[in-house]
Amino acid sequence: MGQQNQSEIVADVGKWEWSELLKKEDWWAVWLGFALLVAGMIMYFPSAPDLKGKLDKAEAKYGQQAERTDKFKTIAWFQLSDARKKVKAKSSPAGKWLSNFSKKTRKWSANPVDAFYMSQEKADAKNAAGLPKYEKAAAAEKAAFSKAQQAEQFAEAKGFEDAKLNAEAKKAIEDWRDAKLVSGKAKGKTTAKPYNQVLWMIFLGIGFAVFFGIGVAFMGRSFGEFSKAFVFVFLLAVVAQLCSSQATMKSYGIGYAFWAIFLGMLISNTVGTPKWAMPAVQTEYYIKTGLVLLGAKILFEKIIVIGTAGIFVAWVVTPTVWLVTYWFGQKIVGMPSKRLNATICSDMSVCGVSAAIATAAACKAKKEELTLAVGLSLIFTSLMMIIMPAVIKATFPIDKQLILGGAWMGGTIDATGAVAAAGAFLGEKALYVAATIKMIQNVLIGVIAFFVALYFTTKVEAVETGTQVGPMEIWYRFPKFVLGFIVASVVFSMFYSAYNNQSSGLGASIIDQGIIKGMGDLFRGWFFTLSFVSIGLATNFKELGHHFKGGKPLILYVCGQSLNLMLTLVMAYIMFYMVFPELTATI
Amino acid sequence: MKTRSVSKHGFAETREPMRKPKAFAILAASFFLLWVFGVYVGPWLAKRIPVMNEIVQIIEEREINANAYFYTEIEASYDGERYMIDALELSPAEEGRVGWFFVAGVAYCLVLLWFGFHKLPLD
Repeated sequence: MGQQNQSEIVADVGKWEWSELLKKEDWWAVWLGFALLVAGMIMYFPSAPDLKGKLDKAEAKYGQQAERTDKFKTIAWFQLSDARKKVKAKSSPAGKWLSNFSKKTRKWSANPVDAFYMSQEKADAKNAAGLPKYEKAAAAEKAAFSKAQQAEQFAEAKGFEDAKLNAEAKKAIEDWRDAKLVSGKAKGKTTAKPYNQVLWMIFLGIGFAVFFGIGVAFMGRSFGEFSKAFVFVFLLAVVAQLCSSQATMKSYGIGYAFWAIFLGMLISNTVGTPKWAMPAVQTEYYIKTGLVLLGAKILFEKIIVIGTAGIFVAWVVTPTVWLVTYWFGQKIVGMPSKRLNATICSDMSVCGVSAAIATAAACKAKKEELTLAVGLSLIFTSLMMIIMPAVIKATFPIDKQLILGGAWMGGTIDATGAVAAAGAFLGEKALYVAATIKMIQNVLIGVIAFFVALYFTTKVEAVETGTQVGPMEIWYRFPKFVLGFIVASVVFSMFYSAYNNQSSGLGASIIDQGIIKGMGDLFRGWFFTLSFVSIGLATNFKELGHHFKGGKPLILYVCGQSLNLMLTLVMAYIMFYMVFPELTATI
Repeated sequence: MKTRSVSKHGFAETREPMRKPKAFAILAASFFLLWVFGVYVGPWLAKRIPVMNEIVQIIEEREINANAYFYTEIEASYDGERYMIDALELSPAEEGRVGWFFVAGVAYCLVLLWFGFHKLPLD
């Protein structure tokens, strides 16, 4: 592998020189990623006192009422939670502007123009059509709220000591929350506003061309040629987003990663990638910049959310499955490429596409290997999203469907969106358990990527090149963007905890709902789309077929996922029903 | 390893060139088939698979982003986080919270990865 062609791998190997800081792609990915994160800090950190004021106000209004009992979640508890939820740094005028600037294509059904443009008349018609349903839902919510208030008052009158009244109040409050959810969604269908995304997208394309072009120029390539070529790559990225925002494709869970690779490959294998577009086919550059932004989302405080049970399901099973599957792939299946093996292990055991991207970049996998791993993950995610909830509903005892089923799906279905859809199919609790387990597993990406980079740098490459690996050699070879990824994760984890220590929920308001969702997420999706388009444009079907020879990647995925399904189910059962049944009862 | 060549039409090629009319016809047909799948075949198919139909309805009603690749892209992650933190606080099982068992879980993960990556096969 040491002799791999540099144009085919997801990362390059370099010797250390100080000039690398301005000439190497890895470092430019770090600088560009950091530039966006610092811009986010400048934009959102000054709003901290204002946000804290709003959170304190909500606490003063509902806090005392919310804590009247620990027997069930009171109305005030939910009102406090709702009030906290509304406090978002990204709701500032600058945040809204940035959201418009970077917005992807809108949802559409039959007419692709709807993805870019909606007139005032059409918005009005849409709102009018949604109004009767909203009015009905709002009335139902009001009635449910009155019932919940009444039930809570009855329970309170008995000092929250009457189990029957407590249960009735809990049920009435849950009904109110369901009605509120329906009403909220119905309201969303009455607030459509006209939009014209075309101009914004042109500005965004120019912005990206300049953003990445600066690094390209420093790396000694032509800014002009890159900019011209970028038009083509960006247009394909827009088409990939357009396909993924089509209503049916959204329902099937076929996201931009698939469309970007597919469209790129379709072009490169039919009419061919235009020669003038090649300077912007920069898979590694876009992917690493996106990964540095991803690092900011790896917030370590998230892993405490379900305590010990969550850690054992997500952080004990996952590395076990990873290591066993990798060993199985090398020793039993006979995978021809360690890098493909590692990339499949990550997407199958951790969290699909994002884990595959991070691992492929960390172990310097070939583009075709990443494509194959992503393809397998997308196919199995779509299948598992439909099959798993059906199996759980048909075979699990009713009292175990929500918690055990949710934990099982959260730990095994690759992509977060599919986990949420499958969880929602079973019910609210299953959705929450599944989404939370997946969130804890998401945090593991950083840990796995670091160990994979270390393993390939110190072990695999040493064997491939036949050279001794001393500390300096490790530094030369270590993919530097991984450092940016880790630094971003550690720094933002610290900010998150520090803000939460100031006021409950402040970390979520500024980091989650500010820098991450109001900056990092807005651009990361685009960067990954650009990288997947580049992968597609540089891949041909024959080479892909070569990597799939003998169906070994498929065998590896199926065997690894089978082990994952088995271990996750056993661990979830042990944790939620044998070790911590009291926790399960309160969920 | 294949090297890229450039055709007279200015296209980079990695294999034997396809005739241009045929190439553009395949491209156009692919886009047309995609559109037909998205607008007609996909919804028709979803309605005929009972579980799929139900999941599609839930996705639409609750506006779940089924394409999301990371937890920050779905609202349920944040709702679930709040819900779970509260459940953990209400739970009488103190050892289920952040304590020695929790630390043991994290330590197990890191130790396993450290030793695992040292012992993985290199051949």
